[in-house]
Amino acid sequence: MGEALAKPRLTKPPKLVTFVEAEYPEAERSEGSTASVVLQIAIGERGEVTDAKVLESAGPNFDAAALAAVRGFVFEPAEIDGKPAAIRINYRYEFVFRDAAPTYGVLTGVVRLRDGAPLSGVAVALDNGASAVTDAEGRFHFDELAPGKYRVLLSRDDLKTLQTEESVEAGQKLESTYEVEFEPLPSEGDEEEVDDLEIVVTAPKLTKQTVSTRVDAKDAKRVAGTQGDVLKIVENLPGVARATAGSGRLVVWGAAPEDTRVYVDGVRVPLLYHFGGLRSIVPSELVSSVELVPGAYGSPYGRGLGGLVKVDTRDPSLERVRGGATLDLLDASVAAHGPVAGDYQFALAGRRSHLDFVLNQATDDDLDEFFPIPRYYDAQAKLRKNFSPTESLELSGLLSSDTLSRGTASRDPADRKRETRELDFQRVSLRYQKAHADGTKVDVVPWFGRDGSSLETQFGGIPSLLEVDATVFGLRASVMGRVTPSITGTAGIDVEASSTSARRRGSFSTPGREGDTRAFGQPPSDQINTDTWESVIGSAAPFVEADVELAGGALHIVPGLRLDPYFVSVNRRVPADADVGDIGAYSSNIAVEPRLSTRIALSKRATIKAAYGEYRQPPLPEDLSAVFGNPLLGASSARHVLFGGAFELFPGLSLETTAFYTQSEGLAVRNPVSAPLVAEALVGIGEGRSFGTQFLLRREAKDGVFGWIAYTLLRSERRDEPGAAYRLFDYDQTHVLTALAAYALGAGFDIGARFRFSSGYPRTEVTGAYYDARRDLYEPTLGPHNGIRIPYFAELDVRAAKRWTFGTNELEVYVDVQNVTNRGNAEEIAYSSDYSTKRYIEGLPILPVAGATFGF
Amino acid sequence: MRTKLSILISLAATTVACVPDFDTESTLVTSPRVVAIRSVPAEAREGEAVEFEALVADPEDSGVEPSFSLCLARKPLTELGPVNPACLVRGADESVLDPLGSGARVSATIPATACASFGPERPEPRPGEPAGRPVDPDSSGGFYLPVVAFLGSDVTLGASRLRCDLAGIPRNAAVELNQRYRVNENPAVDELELVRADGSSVTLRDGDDAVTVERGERVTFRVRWSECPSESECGDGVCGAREDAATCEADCITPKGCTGAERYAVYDAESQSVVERAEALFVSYLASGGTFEEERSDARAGESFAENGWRAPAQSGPMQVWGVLRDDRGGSGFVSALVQVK
Repeated sequence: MGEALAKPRLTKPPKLVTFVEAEYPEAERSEGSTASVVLQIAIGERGEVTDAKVLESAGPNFDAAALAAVRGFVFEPAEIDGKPAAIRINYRYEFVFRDAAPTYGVLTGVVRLRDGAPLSGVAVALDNGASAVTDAEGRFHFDELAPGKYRVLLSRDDLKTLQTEESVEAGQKLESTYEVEFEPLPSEGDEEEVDDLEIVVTAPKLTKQTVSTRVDAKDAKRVAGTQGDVLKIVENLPGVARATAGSGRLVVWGAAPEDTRVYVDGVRVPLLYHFGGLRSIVPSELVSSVELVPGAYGSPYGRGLGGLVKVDTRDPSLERVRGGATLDLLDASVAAHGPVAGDYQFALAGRRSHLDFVLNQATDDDLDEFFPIPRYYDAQAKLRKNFSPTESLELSGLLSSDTLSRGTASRDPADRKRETRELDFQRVSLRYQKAHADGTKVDVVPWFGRDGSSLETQFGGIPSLLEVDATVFGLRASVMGRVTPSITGTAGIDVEASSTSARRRGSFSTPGREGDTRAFGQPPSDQINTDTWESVIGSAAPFVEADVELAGGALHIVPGLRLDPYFVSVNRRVPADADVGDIGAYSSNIAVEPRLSTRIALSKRATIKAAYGEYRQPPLPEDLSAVFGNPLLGASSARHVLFGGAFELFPGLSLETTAFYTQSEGLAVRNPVSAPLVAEALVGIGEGRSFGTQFLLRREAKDGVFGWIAYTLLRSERRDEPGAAYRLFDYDQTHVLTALAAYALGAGFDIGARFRFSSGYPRTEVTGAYYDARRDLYEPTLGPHNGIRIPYFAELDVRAAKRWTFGTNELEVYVDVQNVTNRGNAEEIAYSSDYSTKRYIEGLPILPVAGATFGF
Repeated sequence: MRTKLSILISLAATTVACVPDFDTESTLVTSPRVVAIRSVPAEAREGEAVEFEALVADPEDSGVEPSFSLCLARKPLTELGPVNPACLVRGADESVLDPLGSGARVSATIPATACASFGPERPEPRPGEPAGRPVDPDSSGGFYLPVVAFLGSDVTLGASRLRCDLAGIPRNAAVELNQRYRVNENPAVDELELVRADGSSVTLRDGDDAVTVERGERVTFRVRWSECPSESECGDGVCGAREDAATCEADCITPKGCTGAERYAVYDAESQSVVERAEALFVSYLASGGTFEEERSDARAGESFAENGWRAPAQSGPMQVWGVLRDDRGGSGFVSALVQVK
């Protein structure tokens, strides 16, 4: 009898080497349930799937998705008796509904040359080990990145390695465009560093506010009319009124300049621009980006009725000391940043104006008699320690000083005038940031500082002085994390307190206030008084905000709540009386400020949005005088409503439009009654409203071109007591249009242009005059309050720059010509001394400013 | 004169701009105009009688006279000008304007509520409320009762300085101020001189024959006033701030002021004490022809005269010249002269 045939024996089971994830059926997405399909898979002797069929169904949609997926599986073939063989197996495919509630972020983007040509074959490596290679269109993509900062290395065999840094947030898709200027690799023996050429990171878009415009520093520097000052770009954004020449005031959505709050790295500062508006307070070398939120912002911010400006400074270089210097007609600045010992990095910068020196060399005249020349300086310092790529501690300092003086000597005592304004402030802050692997982010910024300001005038013998010295303290702390798969929550506290000493003497009417009915040049009242007072204003506002993602991420609902308690303490309730002694005043209040915003992505290219918010602003310390103001002034409040949409018309070209309405109450105004009570020179009975719409047609930096057209149609009104008729706000501008573009010609040449058009500010018409025989001067009689306007403004500015690169150094020389057509734009209405003749004060004539920036 | 309006006249925010010139002949008088209103006495208490005198610059000698009214309406804080605008309307309600009549000189009585409406006394409270805010003084510590003169379509605002007791100041300071304060005396022009380019001068007196100047000639007008004693000294004819009837009968039984730059006591709110200051005087110039170099001029330190250049017109004829001497406590004095241009 022969040997019986042996039963075949499975000596090696098949092993799945390529898994294909089945798409969760769209039709089942609304249910969001789990499902499993049991399949029988036939695997060929080469490991391929030769057949598949459903054994246990989960419904036709799941079955089809599972079959499609497993047909793409690849196995290491099974072996029977040691030889590859076909086999059938049963396989359970599990469907798990995963809504877009990731604890990861996405980094995607494109690498291209400055002329816009995409670069393929560039290796993009992250410091967590992930890497990708750019495709033919220069694109790369990273999924599932844990939140945090990543070092990004770009390299190609024939090119130098470049490095930059990105912050990835959970649930966010960070789109970056890297414009690079590659140079051939150094020849052998060349010891030049290979990792320090410049990368320009443009337009990272992380939508956080319902309406905001964020501009990258490198783009902003190229805009004509800004003289290379990155932060001056804010004046060109939608919703911002054109400031009077040389004023630098930020009027956003018809709010008073002091109602818009400015933050640098989370620290509030009193102004964005130095006096005269010629320069911002942070050198461009240190600015990473600037964002303007004109209104309806979320609950983390408050204490302002107007907009919000957030300046982010750049992180110091991790690789080596870098820096730059800029010199032009206005000022000179230097900056340096880089690593120091261990994991520490530093940044230092300083700037000082020299316009007064330059102009005084050019003329023998005492220029202060003709032009008020701003004198300013500022300095910044930062020391940063990175505990890890996702955890850092930063100690920062910022100081700024401004002086503006003007005056005229005359034999005529009525014509002797002198005005001196000063503002100094300093800030020290500590910032701790940590991003956990689960997406939770912690950000804590305690800060401390001092604000000192003074305004002293002499106008034909009428003196006036206002000095304010404040010690300020703030703390901003927040935690953001995933609460549920579809809800991201933020909770925090925003604390601010100021202790202020103020002194004022002189004319009651100086300094002027919004709503004053007066004519330009009208002499101040000769009624004078004096007061010194001290106040403490404090507020600790806890806030929460949730970002609720629905419809697969297409719908975001962001409710927020801010509890804003505040107190005001003033040392004098009534004017000083030596025989009685001081009686202080204390007031406090608490308000709940709801905020809500929604974004609905109608498609990949269209989003609509709406938002509502309530805001409160404590009184200004200078308004709390028992003589000139009111120690019991309460907070003013505002409501913002907006509705709008954002549309990507073409790749790189977007249109954003927003309609808005704001209403404010409790604004401090001069007491309108003929016999006001003591310590009620100001009362909080003013009301205001602004409404309008803004458009932003923006082309992102591409092919060396970027720019935008911003247009705002707006009406802003005030009334100085309830029930009175509304009048135009002093800073109302019906039309504000800004069109700007910059183009990289190649070979280091850059050109740009900016055109601005805006309505003139309202003014009160002078209808006649009467003679004041006691003071020997004419006083105007006035028509309806703000019943006329200054003529419209139109100006074209151009800029040209050329950049040379020497190894790791770069030199840029630029010419920025403001008002290239030399148009005489009216800035103010001036009157003859008897008000019988009126003419316009015109803004700057053609003004070329040449400068150079050196970077290393 | 040719007035250049500088941007610097503004305290507004415009920093750098191109400033227009105004070719305003602001010292030229071509039609009758009230150029000064003098209260006699210069300072008075509630219930006291005063006279208001108008200097009408009338190149045609038409003899027109203004009509006067007392302004009774308090000025709200929202009004940045010197007077309630309701008082500038001719024929306003009598609760606003109290007519005083017409003429170069009219009489009035300081209203009993003047210190509450225009001075340091707190105004009558509204029902159920405390009394209101007092009016702020000027830099000389003065409060003023407004008077309005209407001449044709022109409106001119004048004032009488109010003598009111200060409230809300330390008791010691109030006592000291009462002892040391001397009411203002209207300044007076002692002499008006015409100084030629060669340094020769001639004194112009009202009623004298007109002095002759060449067409286009530049001359200087010099206005002189009395020197006031810088220290209180008994027997100097002025009852100074540190004298009284007990220490110096000669000067203070009937207190005498000085028609120049007087020294006066004033309560300084900042130091909460009584301090002594000297008046600042300045002269305003007007003419029916020619051009003054400045609208006003004042004295240099230590001098008691002010001067101003005047270029005679290109055409011949008589030219009237007016000068108004003002102190910074609301007082004023006038002078006028005739110049023949050939």
